[in-house]
Amino acid sequence: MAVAPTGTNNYLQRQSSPSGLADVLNVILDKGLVIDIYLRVALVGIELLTVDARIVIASVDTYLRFAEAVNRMDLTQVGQQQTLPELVENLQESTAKKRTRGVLEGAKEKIFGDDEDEGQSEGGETRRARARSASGGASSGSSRASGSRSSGSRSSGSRSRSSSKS
Amino acid sequence: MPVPAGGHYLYGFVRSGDLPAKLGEGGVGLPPGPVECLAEGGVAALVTPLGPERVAPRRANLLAHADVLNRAFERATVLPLRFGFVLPDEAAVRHEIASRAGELAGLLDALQDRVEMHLSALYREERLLGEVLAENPAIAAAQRRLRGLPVAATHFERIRLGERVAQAVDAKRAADGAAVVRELERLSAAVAPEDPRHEHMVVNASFLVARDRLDEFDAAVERVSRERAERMHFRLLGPRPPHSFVDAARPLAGAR
Repeated sequence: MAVAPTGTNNYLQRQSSPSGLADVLNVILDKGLVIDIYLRVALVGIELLTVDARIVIASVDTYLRFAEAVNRMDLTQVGQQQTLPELVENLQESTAKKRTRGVLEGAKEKIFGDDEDEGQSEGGETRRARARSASGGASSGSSRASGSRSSGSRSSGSRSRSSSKS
Repeated sequence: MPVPAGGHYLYGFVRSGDLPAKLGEGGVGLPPGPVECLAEGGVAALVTPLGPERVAPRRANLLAHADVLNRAFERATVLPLRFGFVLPDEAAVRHEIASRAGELAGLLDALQDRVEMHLSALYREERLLGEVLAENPAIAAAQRRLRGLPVAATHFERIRLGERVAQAVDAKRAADGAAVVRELERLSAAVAPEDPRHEHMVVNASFLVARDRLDEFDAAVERVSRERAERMHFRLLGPRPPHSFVDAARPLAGAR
């Protein structure tokens, strides 16, 4: 896919006015002058909301989300970062993204199979990266079925095949 | 403490004479109350005289507060108040203005012809986590080890992994966020950084920008965000009233 057309981009969104209640709350609840002599409308519920939004970042929930997200990551992307066109494609075509992920997961399973490969993972990363560029990224929807993470056994044959690639 | 019914709802302050005394409807209340500009000496308050009802923090009232300030901001220098302040009557409003006239006049001078621009940026998740894994071999090793194991049996290890990821993200955020702010700081009279509101948030800051430097500021944001397009996406909101810069305790660079 080509780079996004001139005039629009996927990296900077400009808004002249707040886009909803959330933007409004962000400025009028805890920013601005205060009057200390009289009374403020009871804001209990709303203030709790904004406090929650702040503390959520250092919570077990966040850690678990990060752990899950990082476990979803395919190591082929490490050391071979996505290019901008790829990102655009991923953002715009979620199905394509799934397909890509399916292929990558599948590739990983084929190459790594199971935990016994952990010891050679350093070399494995570069092999996988090469295997990915050799296969030209996402091309076949049929690999999707093989992207299932649960089975770690269909390994050895594929593994030797991919080794021969590198 | 319950708020008594009635009184004057306050939105903010402007200079006397910048706005007419009657500003139409569209204030807080149901139906939307009249918005008035109540002058006392050199400073005026934007208010809505309330009927017998109480102002609740409902959606319509919250939006009305922001809307009144935004409309005033189009025509005048405005000092926004937070949502929810009610004074008992007009005399109390006048007293409030008079008792802090110097502070308010000073802020109005400092904020004249200046607007607030809010910039936020989020990391693109896959790219961010890719960087974390590439830069932290220990995290990558833990990720590989946990990958095939059942979730229930590794709950606490996963929390620890996530915590390490969060710490790595924090470190990246500190460096990347500071770099963005640095590039825009020289075009701003002041910067008000805020805590991140999202775990992928890398920039969350308001900038006080002179109106005649807005084009320059916008071009700088465009450049800064384009340079980081693969790693983050940005949102620029404004111009808006200087909500983040009316705290008298916050020094304004180059304030008059």
